[in-house]
Amino acid sequence: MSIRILLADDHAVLRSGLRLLLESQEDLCVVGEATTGQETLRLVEQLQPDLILLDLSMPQLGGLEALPLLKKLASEAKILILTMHDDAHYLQRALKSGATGYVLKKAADVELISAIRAVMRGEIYIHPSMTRLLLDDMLPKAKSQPVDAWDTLSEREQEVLRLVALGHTNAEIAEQLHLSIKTVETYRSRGTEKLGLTSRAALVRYALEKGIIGDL
Amino acid sequence: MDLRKFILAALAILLGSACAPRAITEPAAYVDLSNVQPLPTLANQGIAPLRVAIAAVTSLQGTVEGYAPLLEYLSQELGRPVERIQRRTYSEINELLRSGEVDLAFVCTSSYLIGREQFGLELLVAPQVNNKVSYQANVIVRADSNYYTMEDLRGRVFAFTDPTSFTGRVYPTYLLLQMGETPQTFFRATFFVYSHDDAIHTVANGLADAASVDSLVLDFALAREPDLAGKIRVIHVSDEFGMPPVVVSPGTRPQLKAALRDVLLRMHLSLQGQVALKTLGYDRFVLVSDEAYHSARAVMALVNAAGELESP
Amino acid sequence: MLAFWKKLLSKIWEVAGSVPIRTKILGIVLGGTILLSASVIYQLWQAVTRTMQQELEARGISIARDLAARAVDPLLLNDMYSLHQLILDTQHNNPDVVYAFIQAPDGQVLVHSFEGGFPTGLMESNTVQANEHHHTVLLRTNEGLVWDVAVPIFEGKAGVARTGISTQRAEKIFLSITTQVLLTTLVVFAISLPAAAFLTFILTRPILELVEATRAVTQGDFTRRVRRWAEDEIGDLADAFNAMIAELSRMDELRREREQLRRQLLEKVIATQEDERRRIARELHDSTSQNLTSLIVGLKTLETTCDDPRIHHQASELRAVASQTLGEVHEISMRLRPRLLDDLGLSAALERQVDEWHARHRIPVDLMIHTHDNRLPEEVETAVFRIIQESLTNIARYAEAHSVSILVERRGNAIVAVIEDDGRGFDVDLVKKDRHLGLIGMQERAELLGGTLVIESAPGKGTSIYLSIPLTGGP
Repeated sequence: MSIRILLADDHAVLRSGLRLLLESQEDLCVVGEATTGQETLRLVEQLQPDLILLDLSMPQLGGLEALPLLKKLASEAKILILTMHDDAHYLQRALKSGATGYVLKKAADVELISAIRAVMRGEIYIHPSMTRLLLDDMLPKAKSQPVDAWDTLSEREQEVLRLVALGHTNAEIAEQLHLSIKTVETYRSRGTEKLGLTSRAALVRYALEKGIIGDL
Repeated sequence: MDLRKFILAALAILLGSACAPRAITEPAAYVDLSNVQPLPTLANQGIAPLRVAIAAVTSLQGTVEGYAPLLEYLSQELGRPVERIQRRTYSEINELLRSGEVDLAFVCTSSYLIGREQFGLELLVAPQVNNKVSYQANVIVRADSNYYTMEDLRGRVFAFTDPTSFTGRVYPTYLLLQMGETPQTFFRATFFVYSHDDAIHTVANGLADAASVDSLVLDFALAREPDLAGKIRVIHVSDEFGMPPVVVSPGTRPQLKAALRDVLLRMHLSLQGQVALKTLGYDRFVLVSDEAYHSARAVMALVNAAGELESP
Repeated sequence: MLAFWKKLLSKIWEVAGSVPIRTKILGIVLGGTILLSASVIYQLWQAVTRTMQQELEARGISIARDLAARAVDPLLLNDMYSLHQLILDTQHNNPDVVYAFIQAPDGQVLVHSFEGGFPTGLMESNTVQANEHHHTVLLRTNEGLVWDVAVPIFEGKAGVARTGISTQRAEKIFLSITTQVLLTTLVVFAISLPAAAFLTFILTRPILELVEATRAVTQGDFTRRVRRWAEDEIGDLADAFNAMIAELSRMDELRREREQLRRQLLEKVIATQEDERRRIARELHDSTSQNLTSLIVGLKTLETTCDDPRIHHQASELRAVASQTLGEVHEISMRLRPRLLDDLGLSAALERQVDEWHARHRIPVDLMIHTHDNRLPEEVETAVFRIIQESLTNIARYAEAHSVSILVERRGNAIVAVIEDDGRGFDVDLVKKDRHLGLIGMQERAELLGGTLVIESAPGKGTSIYLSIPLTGGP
């Protein structure tokens, strides 16, 4: 029983190459080719393939927008995203929108076949390099110091850190609090040290979490 | 105002004050005018001075100057201070002589005559002038006037000297009596000048039309003031009468009297004495007797009888 | 010594010179008036005092001599009564005569005008020689200053006449004159003061107006013009001033226009640059990458379908080359303009950028983006992206940092970014002077969009770059 595959990609040369590659496998069969998102929808409805190889950047309705529609049209079909974009954001979006797999074009030569097979088996395939990124995003951040640490700061240190988190320059802080720039720097470094924060970004994160600065 | 201005202003004022000549006098001493004390009485002079009175033949000041050397000489010769006494009128001096308040006096002829009669005034000596011991009365008028005789003087203003002056009053009155007149009837007005010097000047200045003066005084005045000669003219010269003498008070002690006589008589023998005599225009002093004054006495008697010698 | 005086003078001038011009003019006018009045009054006072003293003395002499003349005869005649009458008459007829008395040649007082006695010390206080015309002595008495005149009577032979003339009456008159003059001066002064003030006001009004106008122009107000108050040099100054302002205004206009043009040019250049980059990136991404991928795929197919080991090997090698090329093209494309920026926005693009930079340079970057996933205007996202890109490039090149912190926040109606590193730091002013084009470029990009870029850094202290771009109501 051969797997019926629909190719959705606007690059003609690539399509022909893929077709050749896929058809070199006996159990894979390309039943159609679409160049735009709209065409993809039409052909899916018409042909009801088992697998859709979907490029994200197609004219007239890109892959990401087409995804949910495709799911509706062919709920049984597996959608494997084949794309240049090696960014976790795309991956997330794709997965969220119902893609079953994500293959990078640059690795199409080695992974495409195994990806298809994995997806047909019912697994979710994600390009290995992408997995790491996904995991990075999902792992919890370093635990912040207990809230009490904030109270160990002097009033001045708290004031300074607040303003730093708000994005003010040292000069601005110095003027506002009527201190010398050196004093501001001292308070800041002492404060961040006490809180165990290593950077401004970390401080902002902390401050937002703690509610020291408001969400704007 | 700014500082600079102030400094400049101050400097200018200082400069200004420096420029102004300092002519303001500073007070010398302090006297409290309310702090009065009674005046100290004069201490006793010691030696009693010789009191000499001089009748006002010439002006008071002229008398002082004229008699100063003589009095000085007297003082020296007598070895005692001499006090000069002057009075306005002859009669005042007579009174002093009478009361003995005066020792020696230089008086007019008539003073002697009156004094001798009234209280025994004594002759001491008399001056000799131009080898004469007599003098005359000169009636003078202004040179530029038209008076040439006594008659011309009718209804004019006449100046007497002293009320008892022989030449100055007695004689002119005598003249008028001779003419059957009195001064009151003859002259328009008369007044007393009290000194012959002043009488001369009175006529010269035209204050009076005429006066009768001591010839000696006139000569002396003319000698002193040559200008006078051109201003006055003598219209009448009297006879010679006895020279105004030097008299002593009746009470004078004989020793003093002798000493005085002696000093005066020999005055012309010393240089100082000569200078003194010269100042008065005298040659010397000589002894005189009462006879020399008979003529004068006669004139006086006449005038007295006519009641014209009463004090004015 | 000289230095001291110089310093004193310059100090005086400093104080005097700093007095406002109105006070100066008033000072000159009033100072002159006061000086004039003061010196006049003083001279007057001096002159009058002197004259009065002289007059008084002369009168005293005259009275004394008259007394002396009249006293001769009574003295010679020893007429004390007349003498006394004479004394009394002298006193009676001359209100200034305080006393009169006659001395005998030996100095004893013969008659006098005092009651109850004779003042001690008065007799000896003045003497006169016989040949003298008179002798005057100024005495201080309990009744004020008195001129005591001694006149010889009859050349001293008869005695001496003495009279005392009081200066009190004269002084009273003098005082009243002085007071009057002073009062007059004060009145004149009182009148001249407002007059002078008014005059000063009139004179200096245009000057003050000029000062104020100059200040306004300094603040940037080129519309100010000054009135020509009078047909004098100050009026000329006013005209010159106005002409100068007009010229300044014109030049300012020109400058603005030029600035505007420059901005437009810069915008255009940047926009063009971005467009070009986007175009190239897109082409690389869409066309070139796709082609390469096709190539790879095709070669793979060839590999799989071909049994010949030589072709197999060749295809494999070619495939590797193509793969590598694809990678490079990809990188170029990313660096030129990441698709992410257009497709998914600033956050995504920044995260990708930071990841790649970190991977390349092995320096940890703490990235904190807080924009609520809202998309921002395209030029703003581009500017922020480029600036951060440039900053990272600089950090990699110069900073020798151990860690980097990037904060991007939407705060109010502005987007705020802070890029911090703990590296070497640099002297901001020095670098700015050298016109580091990279930094200037960053600043220009920010300013084009109406934002600001502030760099805080010091050698050894790391670097912080603060970026702020408004989101509504840009230039």
